[in-house]
Amino acid sequence: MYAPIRMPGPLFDEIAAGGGSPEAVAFLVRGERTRRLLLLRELLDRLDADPALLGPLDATAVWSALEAAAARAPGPVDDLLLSPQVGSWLAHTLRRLHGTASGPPLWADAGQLAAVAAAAAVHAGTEAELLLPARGAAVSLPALGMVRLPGPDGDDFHAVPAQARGGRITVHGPHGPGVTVRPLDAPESAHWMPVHRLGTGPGLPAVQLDDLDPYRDLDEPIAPHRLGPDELRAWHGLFREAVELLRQDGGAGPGGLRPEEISRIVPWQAKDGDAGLPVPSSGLSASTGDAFASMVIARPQDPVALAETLVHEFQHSKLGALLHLFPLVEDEERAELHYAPWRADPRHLPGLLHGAYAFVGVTGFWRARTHDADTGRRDRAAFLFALRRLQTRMVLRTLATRARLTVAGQRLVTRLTGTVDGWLREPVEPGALARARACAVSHRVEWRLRNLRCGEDERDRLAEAWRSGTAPVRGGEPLVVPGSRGYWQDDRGALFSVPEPDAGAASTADALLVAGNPEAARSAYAARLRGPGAPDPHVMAGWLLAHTALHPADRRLLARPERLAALLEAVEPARWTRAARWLAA
Amino acid sequence: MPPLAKGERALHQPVPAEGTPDHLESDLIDLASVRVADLRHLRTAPAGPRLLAELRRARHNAMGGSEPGRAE
Repeated sequence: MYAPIRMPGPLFDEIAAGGGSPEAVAFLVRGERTRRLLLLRELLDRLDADPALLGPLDATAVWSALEAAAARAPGPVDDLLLSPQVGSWLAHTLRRLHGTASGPPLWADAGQLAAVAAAAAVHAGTEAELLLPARGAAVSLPALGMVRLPGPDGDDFHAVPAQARGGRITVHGPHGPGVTVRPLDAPESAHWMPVHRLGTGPGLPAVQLDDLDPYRDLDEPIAPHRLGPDELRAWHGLFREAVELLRQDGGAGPGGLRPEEISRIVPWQAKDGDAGLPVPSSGLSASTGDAFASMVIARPQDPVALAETLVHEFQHSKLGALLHLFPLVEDEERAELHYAPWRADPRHLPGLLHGAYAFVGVTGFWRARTHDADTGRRDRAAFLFALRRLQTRMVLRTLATRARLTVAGQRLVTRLTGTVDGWLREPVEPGALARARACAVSHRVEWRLRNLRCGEDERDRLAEAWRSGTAPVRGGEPLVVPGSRGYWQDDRGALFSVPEPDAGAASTADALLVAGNPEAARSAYAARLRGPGAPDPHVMAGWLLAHTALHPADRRLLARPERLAALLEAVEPARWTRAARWLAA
Repeated sequence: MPPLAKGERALHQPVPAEGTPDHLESDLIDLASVRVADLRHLRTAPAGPRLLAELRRARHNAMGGSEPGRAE
């Protein structure tokens, strides 16, 4: 019987504070290896119990090939096991078998085990004869690349014979002769597409730029989509500059990142170009705990944005690995109720914890940028450092007071809070600090107006109290109504991020407000609110922000703006200021 | 003993391991010494209910979806 994994407290605390030395991250990787072994064994047991799951593939041959390769080359096969491709495939396939995922014919998903065995045989130089799953003319070898068979391509799944020997592999498709390649060193050709690699420095591991593997998204397999030469060049250039930036920061503290610890970047490719992206591409990224150190990223415009995204997503990976070792929040708490300042919609508490952990990294990243030589970058960094430390602290408070944290979870939240509280004591240029505070309030007010409603009873009693001239009734718990207006961007927040907006641009209500002209801003917002239809929450939030700038004593309205919105439904626009003053009093 | 309330259910709580005041003990068994080649010969290698429950929860792809990625 094996002993449980025991994580030294000091290593836990390094991760819990938002950073992590190479030793601390290596401990997480060790946990990931155990998890992958347990999942692989789970899959093998399932295949033993029902060999028909592999369809035309032979389970005995597959496992023999993997065992032989692992016996000869344990290190490379361990690396393969730990690759994001294998992690995502393994998890997806077990979900298929459990009925919580869908995908291609089940044998093709389960049969990717044969592709793992073939890749292992290539690494080890062992001999193997296997049937591999092919999608059209494409045969994927995890973390190595893709064999392109002769003949027409398509989306059909079929089994193709393959032989591995001495580091070469020969694959026979239904059309034309077999294709033989040496995947470890063969250059790109008509029949072989290697995984792209991004350098992180002399003698250091490269990062995969994966546009091929079927299991490169967060769950279901997708078709290969080779980057064009211009796009590939852009990625290389951006990544090189992002690495230079991250190297300046050290790497072990919160917000630092050693680029060589990233395993893979998957370019976010929308089905219909940028028009197919669910939101504007800037900052679009995602990751899954199934694939440690892997991240899906829409290519940003500049290396600073890429570096920030790398830090952000690696934080998710670290927390995902920690969650594999220890429960941090009890599982039942998955109701989407809570304010996450970096999102348009409400989140559940585990998601909030992920966000807080990621944004501690992001905050640390911008803190480091406040020392950059570039003045413009320094100004923006001061604003973002001040904003993110404030927002992250707010979420940590929610977690500490609302989440049922485990012992490890409490230790994590305490350490994260310690990091952010230390940052909150650091001086920030007053102008940037003021804009950050205003931006945080603006986002929160608009988020509440978009996602929360007063209960019907409270709304009716507020209206009645207003009409009768009595005191406003007390507020109850708001109702959470997420998604009723869809995704939104914080356009006003973007204006707050600029130190001195272009004077000529100060013509919109938002610009007037941000420029420090609340009187004109309130008039402009009011004019828009007088239009037909339900009030736009963005405009309503702006009106309230302008109103409280003119009447600072009414700032308490900002805490529950949905109450004002409910009241104003019953008040003609000419009396809104009076109604707001009455509600705040 | 009274029944456990919801917040007190029998969740594995990592605690400092015995004799070593500052270690946290996971509910995962440690397979660091197990080679991939030997995996099948282990008498038992239980993944554990928590690991499987977390793994089996449905996910969504990031690309081609209607929402930005959501970390779980």
